[in-house]
Amino acid sequence: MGVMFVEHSHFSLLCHPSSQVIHHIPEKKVLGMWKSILRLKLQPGGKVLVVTRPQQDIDYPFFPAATAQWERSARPDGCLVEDLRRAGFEDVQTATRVYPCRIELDRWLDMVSEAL
Amino acid sequence: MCAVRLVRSPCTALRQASTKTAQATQMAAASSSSSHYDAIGSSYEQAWFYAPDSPYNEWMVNELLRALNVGGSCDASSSSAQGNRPLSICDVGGGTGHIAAALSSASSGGGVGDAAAIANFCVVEPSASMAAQAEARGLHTVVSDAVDWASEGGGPKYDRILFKEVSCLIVLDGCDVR
Repeated sequence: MGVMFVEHSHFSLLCHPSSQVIHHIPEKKVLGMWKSILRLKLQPGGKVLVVTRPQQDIDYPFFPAATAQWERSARPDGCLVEDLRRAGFEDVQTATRVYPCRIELDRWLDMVSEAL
Repeated sequence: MCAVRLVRSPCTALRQASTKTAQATQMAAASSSSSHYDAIGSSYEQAWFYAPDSPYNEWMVNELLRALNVGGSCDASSSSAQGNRPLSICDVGGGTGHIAAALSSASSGGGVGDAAAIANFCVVEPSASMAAQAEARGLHTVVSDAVDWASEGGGPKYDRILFKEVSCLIVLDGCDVR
């Protein structure tokens, strides 16, 4: 199971952005949220970490209908990084961690039905 | 990248997948009601990604400790440098608080290298029922979605802000966004 960490810096801030939160939200709101966090919620020298599951280049064992749904809802992972940079964050860094796992079919289908 | 393996014979898997496809699609579509997360609050921790005692979450907590560079012990002698003084952390969309509790527990047990201790933890969560569970874990909680929370000035600022696998933080037009 791939998990993406995006790391982002502003005056030694560290931030990891998440695409799951973002990809259905109007761009204006997303940018405003990140700007507000930077201005109102983060200590100087603080760090933000966003962890998400990758939206692209996945090899989840989806059935065709789920693959189609995933592709419809996916937003390029790079958009999140770009949003953070536009909001004023600097030195955005990303990293992907891989978690190998085995999941029973019934449970996997339940997870798919809940959009993971 | 992904290494998910389904534990079932291929024939059985195909049969069950075909019968569940329609169900799954319908359920996904129906999951966008504003009360979705309140409704699943009681079963949230049974979900694969959010089960507190699962190997996946144990792995995730360790990854978070490393990425946030926290997990050190609260030692007054180590409070001189910004890098290892006790830090305040906010978990946005923190659900029932099990990740925050696990990170706090790791911090109280002492850390590795220059990892900082955790001074306090706040969980921001739009679902009141989940926030109540976080509060029962002894965590300070704020019932809010991410956009509203972020726009409110005058409150505390945090050394670390975490967005972990958040899928429903922002409420637009009365609908939860997944």
